[in-house]
Amino acid sequence: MRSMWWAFADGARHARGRVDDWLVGEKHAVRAAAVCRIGTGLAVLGLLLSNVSTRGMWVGQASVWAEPARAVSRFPELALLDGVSSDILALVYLVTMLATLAFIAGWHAKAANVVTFLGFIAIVAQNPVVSAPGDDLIRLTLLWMLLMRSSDHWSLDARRRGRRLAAGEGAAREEEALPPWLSTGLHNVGLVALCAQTVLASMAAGLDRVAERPWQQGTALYSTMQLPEFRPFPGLSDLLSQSTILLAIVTYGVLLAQLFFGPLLLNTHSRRFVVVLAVVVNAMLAVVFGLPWSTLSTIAVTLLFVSDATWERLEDAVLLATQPVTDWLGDRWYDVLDAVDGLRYRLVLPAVDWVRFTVLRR
Amino acid sequence: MPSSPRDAAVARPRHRWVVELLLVAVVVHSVVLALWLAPSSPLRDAAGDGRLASYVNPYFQQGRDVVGVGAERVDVSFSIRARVAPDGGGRSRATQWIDLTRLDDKAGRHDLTVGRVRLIARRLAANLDLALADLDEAQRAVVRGLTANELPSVVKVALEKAGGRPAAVQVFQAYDQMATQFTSLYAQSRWDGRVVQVQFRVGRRTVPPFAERGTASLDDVAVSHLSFGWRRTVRGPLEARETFDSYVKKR
Repeated sequence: MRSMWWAFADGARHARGRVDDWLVGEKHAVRAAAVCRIGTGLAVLGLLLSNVSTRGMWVGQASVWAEPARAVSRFPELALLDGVSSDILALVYLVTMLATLAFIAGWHAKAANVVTFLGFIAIVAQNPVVSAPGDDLIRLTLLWMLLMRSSDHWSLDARRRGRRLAAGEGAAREEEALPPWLSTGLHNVGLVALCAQTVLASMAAGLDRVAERPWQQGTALYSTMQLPEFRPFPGLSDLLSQSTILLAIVTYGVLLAQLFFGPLLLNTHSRRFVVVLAVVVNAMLAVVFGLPWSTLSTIAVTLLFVSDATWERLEDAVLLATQPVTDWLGDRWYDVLDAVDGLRYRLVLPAVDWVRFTVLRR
Repeated sequence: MPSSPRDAAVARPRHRWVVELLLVAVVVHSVVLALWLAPSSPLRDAAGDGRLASYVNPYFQQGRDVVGVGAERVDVSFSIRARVAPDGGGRSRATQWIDLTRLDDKAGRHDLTVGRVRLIARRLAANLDLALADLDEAQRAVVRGLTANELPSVVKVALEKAGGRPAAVQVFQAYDQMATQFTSLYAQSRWDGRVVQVQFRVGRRTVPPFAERGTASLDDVAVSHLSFGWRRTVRGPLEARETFDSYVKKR
């Protein structure tokens, strides 16, 4: 009995050690996190840009009619825009867009993530009547990314860090705020939470749909494609909905990508299949149903399941393919710098000299 | 990589339990979320809808429709009209109905990035339709008989007296109020003169079944309209009226 207890305790200790090694040993999926950062940021920026001209009607003073719906919302961030003038709204809107841009570029990504998260809730939750289910996914992604290190690759932060290290300097103070093991641990915990969230959301949607007969028969999206709200391109909707085969492929594709998303992630080959399927399905939904921003955010979290090795290979392939273009752009950039320098010598410096010798001498 | 278990123990940080605790919290959170998103089951019922909602709302708020698109069958429309009196005085007259959802659909054609304002009319109509369906027949009769002079507090009492659930009355009144305010602001920008009263109606039709796709389309289905009574105009703040002015004039 005693030896059994020791064996169990030893096994538990060993398992804990393995979990610890995974958690605090190294950051996982750092490139995938960078892709998720860029994709989610683009979804937020796209949403804000497509509503910028009508922001006053959407969430400003002219949305005063939505007050009863706003009153039952429990987001404290709503107070940021509560009854503010159009100037303040424009300012908050602009700050959120700039923060989102910084988040996409990975410029002080953590701070940009915080501002984007708060601004997104303050703006989007302001008018609950016209909210979209995809807003929830964007909010949840931004929330879990607060724990993650999403700017270790493909970001201005990474470039700055590289330059500092090349110059023999240490990391910036904001990057050393936490001990490395804690920063790594938080990143990995955030990654687990976001991946679990993505799998749960997909499977819940799939389970909900598979219970309905039209989804089983492969005709569920026919009725949605007939509604004016979901047919920005009527010709495309008609093309898909009039063909039984195409409609069944699209319907089963959506169902398969959601219902079996979790189980198919368990094997490397099936994971590649389901990730590609989910990306293709969401890209199709974006165009056919006119849902670009929510589907982009879904694609961003789906790409978290692409391994870092694959992203590295993709990066190498893209760099190799674009090398002639980047070389050409680099040469042109030096030409531009030379031209600017020439202008400085021919126009600016003589003007400065003229001011110094004629005006200031008096 | 540590070479032996002893080295590994030395390499692992002392306070790693903080991260372990966070991981446990994430696992528990995911289980709660799974219960929240799961279809109705004894396990979910045991956890209780209210208890799960109090945890999930507001930051983890989500439904089963977060990803993808569902099978929608109902097309709704939202039309408005007003009683407008000339600025110089005189009798008010009722305007023609204008279908705001049709204007939104026209503007959204071949546009992938439709603004959220184009959803307002349709969402108001859909929510009013649902709220009305939640009332019972006697309450719907009360709604049909409402006039512009009745105060919301009086309407509330009348609806509750007619039966049904108080929560359904609350939801209906909230959407009725929102639709009245939105219609008032829109009407004041749309028609010249003094808008005295406004009225809105919700249209509803269902997409014909897939089996009938060769013979019937949505355009062939007659819209069943439900008119709500006249409502007194709510003027709204000046800045709201100015924003509506510039939006409505651009349409």
